[in-house]
Amino acid sequence: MTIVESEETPLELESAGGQPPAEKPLGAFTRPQGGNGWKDWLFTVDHKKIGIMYGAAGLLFFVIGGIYALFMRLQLSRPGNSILSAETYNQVFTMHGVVMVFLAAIPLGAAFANYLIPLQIGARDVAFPRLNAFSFWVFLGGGLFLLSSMFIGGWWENSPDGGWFAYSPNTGVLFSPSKGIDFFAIGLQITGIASLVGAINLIVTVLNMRAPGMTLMKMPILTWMLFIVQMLLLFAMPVISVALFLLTFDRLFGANFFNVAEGADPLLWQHLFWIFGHPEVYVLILPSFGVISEIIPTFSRKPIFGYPFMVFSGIAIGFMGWGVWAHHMFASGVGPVAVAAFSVSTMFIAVPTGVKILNWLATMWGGRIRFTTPMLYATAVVAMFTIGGLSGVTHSLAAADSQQTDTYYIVAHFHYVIFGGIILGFFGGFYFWWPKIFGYFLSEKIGKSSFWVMVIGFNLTFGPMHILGLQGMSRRIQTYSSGQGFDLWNLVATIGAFMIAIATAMFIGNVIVSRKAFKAGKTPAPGPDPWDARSLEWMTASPVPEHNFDETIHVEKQDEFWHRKWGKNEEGQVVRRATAEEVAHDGSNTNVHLPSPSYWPLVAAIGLPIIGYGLIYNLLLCVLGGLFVLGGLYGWVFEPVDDPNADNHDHGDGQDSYAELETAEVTNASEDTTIE
Amino acid sequence: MNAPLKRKITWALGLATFAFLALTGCAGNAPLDTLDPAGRKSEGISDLINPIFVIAGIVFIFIQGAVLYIGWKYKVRAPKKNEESFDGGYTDEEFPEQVHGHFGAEISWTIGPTILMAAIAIFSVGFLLNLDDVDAAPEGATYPDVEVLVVGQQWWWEYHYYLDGIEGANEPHFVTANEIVIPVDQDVRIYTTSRDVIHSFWIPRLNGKKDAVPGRTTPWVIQSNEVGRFAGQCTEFCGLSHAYMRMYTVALPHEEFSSWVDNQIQFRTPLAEDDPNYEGEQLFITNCARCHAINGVTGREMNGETVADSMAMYGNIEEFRNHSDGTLSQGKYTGAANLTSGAAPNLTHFASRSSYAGSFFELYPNAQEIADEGGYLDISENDYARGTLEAWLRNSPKEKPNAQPGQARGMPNLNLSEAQIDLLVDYLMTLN
Repeated sequence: MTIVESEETPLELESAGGQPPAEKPLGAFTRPQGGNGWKDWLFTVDHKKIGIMYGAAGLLFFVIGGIYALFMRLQLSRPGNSILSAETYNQVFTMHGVVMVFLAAIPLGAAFANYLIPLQIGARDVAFPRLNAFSFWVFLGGGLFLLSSMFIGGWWENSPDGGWFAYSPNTGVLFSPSKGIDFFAIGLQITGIASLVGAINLIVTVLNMRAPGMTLMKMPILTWMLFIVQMLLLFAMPVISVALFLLTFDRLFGANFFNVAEGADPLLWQHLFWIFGHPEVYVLILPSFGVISEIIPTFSRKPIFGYPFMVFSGIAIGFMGWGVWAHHMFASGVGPVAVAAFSVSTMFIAVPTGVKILNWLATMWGGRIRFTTPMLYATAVVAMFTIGGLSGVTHSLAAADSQQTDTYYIVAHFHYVIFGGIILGFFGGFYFWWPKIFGYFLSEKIGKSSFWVMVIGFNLTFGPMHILGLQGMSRRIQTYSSGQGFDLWNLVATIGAFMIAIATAMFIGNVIVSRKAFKAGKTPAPGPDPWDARSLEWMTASPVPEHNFDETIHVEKQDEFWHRKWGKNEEGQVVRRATAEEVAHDGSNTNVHLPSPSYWPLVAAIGLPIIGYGLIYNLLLCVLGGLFVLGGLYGWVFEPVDDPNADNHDHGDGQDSYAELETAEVTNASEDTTIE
Repeated sequence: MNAPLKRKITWALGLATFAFLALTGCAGNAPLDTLDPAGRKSEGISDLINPIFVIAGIVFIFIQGAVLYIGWKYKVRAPKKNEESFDGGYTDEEFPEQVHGHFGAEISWTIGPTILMAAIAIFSVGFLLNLDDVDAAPEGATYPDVEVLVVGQQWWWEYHYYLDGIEGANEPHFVTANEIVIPVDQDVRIYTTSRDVIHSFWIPRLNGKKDAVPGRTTPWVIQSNEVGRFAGQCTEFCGLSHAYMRMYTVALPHEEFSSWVDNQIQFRTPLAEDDPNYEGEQLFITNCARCHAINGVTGREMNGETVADSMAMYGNIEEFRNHSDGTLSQGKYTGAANLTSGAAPNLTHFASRSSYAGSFFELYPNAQEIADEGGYLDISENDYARGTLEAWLRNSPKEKPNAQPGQARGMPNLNLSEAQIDLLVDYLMTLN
């Protein structure tokens, strides 16, 4: 077939004498060509580039959110401090929450999902590559839109100041007259579009694009968890969208959804927010659960313990996550029966989470554990998340929660979940997949020392908050008095926060140093499978070639790649069948059709923040933004499926049978060459 | 130092820190301590949660112990100096037994925790359903049915006392602010509500918290086993000055509570022109009476009429009762509909309270000791903190963050002269 193609397609092109073809299909709507620097990233539809951009943006926002946190900790380091005024403090803690949840944790999860789902299921890309690019740019636009509130109309004049939970009526125009809540509502609306679009895309990808033989129950746990996350997003995002629309209409157009004077009940907002907000917690945590479910078996040299139970406990968490939202509202006066019901449902969500923790421990049990940096992080997740889970059980008892809610005890609890469970897991994931993604190792030495700085700093920051909370320190307070007994632990927490900052800086430094060392030839190339891992993403070259796999992988077993490397002898001992290099694809097949880059996702995405500014400042801008969106969609629909100029081979229908045929031919051809 | 040793040291340090935390955490002198209950309800909560802390502690030790044990027992040696650290340890091609799972184990650690949680659920829910029940008043209580409407607003609390219970009453017997005074050993039914945004009423040593939601009145209980003053803090984020919104509950012996009621219920009469504080009162009427009431002295305009009895501004209980239909209007003064409070603390008995400005400032130094030793009823006989009060009158937004000018929440800077401040302070301190 290669021969056939070299006779047909290239000839067609060359007939124009090396010039671009005179006839551009549909006039202006050509597709950009890849391979030239920044344009390659702007117009890419490659799930790997998009995944990297999600990760980079998520890390950037993580650093920004962390800087907010440092300022909060500085303000609270001693009683009666005045580093931040009450006004600024309220904006800073709001932005800390919003940025960390919506702009750091969600996109970091999306980074793993985008990069790894297609690789783990043996696919070339996601189902809708242009839609994938669209969701990234929408997310980035929404995030920058939110952050721009810091600068627009004066420094810290128009930042949201109602908390990330934005309880009405405090977020009404009457009580929050700056433009901050408008930025909050519209910014989150925009990033919500990104999440929703991405969720649909990845659900279709997982359901339709798995390699032949990979049944659902052979998918890696990470893909399973990410799949559940997308399902949660699919149903949770519309709820917050509705809530944000109501809020936006209240503020901008004088609607009365949350106006008590006109008969509204402010608890409506709380219900809508937490029906979204609690599944959101699992949107954040499940990717990390997936990440460490890949790391722990790899470095314990054992398969994951109880695979079906890991999968079904994830599904159970996803389901039960919809039935516990009012535990955020135990003190709000929803009535004792509702409180009792939600209290009980909350207790039982501890069961599937406990199953996961015990399964990870059972995976490690009897293994040959190698404590590399990723494994250290994964183990820390098991230990630290457990603390967050246990403190969660203590306030699932609604009576106890009436003492604990809105105190630092809760702050401690969810930071043990979000930082201890999620961020530590993600850092483990970075160290684990870094060689796969970028083709060089991160330094283990810096990695391990930064790990310890981070874990100790984390415990110093949030451990004392348990005590502060039980001693009665309220959340979201800009100051406290010296007689309240909060002085010591607040100081300790502040010191811990700076240790976390140092550890994060060490990670960034590690990236730079390790890259330099690799470029200078001081560290070896990782090869396709540096950790002796188990899933399909390790079965191709590092960094992953643009087309992912040279040929379609036929999956027979769970952990297919591992089973190709290792088998069992007659005594049942594990023996090597083949080396990773023998099994893995080397990325030499350039004969694979890939979707062409496209301008239009970016164009359409740019329109949304413009509409956002228009809603807040001048409705005429909305027209401009609308033109971008419509123009983008128009171009999107009418651009050619492929650019004949693009050097990406002809386009089949992208079905496996075709690719299979193609790769089969390639193999034959190369075999022929060898024989010759 | 090699990694495992480092790890052990870190864990040892971590555990030591944790033990230190746990020990000192309980011993500190914290007025808001939830672990130091002083009331029937808070003791109940404490009794409920303490065994849960123990269970959680056992699971904590079990899991952390398992992590440490497994990490220690099953680790392969750390890479030596000259090895590529990321590739060390796996060159031997040795594998442990490849266990894929164990059905029995999975079932047991699904069922086991389920049973544990079910047990916890059963013995917690019964308690939960009775959490806001009120016991009958003890023998000899002068006011067995005292009920209080607790109204949150930016950024202070107001208490409407219904001495014969809220049922059947229309107007409160009297209104006070910041400090809610209750008879000791008696369950006092309170109803929380709000004039503006959501607040949360919380006296940690007496009971858990209950949100004050505008448009709703939510029943809750406070009760104290001992005489004394108990600190509280608004715990639902309520805007700019949230951190500065505090309150106290003071528990008095029954006879002292009666005397306190007898005093609070008194109206004042305008001072004669030759009274030394006459000028201060006039200053109050011109500068402060737009927001603050002194019953019997400050007339307030309502519906076009001047009402001499400023109690009228608090309206009747029907305004607050059972507003699950959300018909409660914001604030009583419709003239101030664009803002929320419109009202400021009633100052009729200002000097009888130990604190002011959302209980953020102490009016009397050592107020805590005085109240705990039973001197609250006559607290105005003590020396007061004149300097802080003067600073408050001089420029209150500097002392406590207030909303932007024009939003009229929180006390504005009145630009008083030093002489005026002196006169006002003298006058205010006569309002015992």
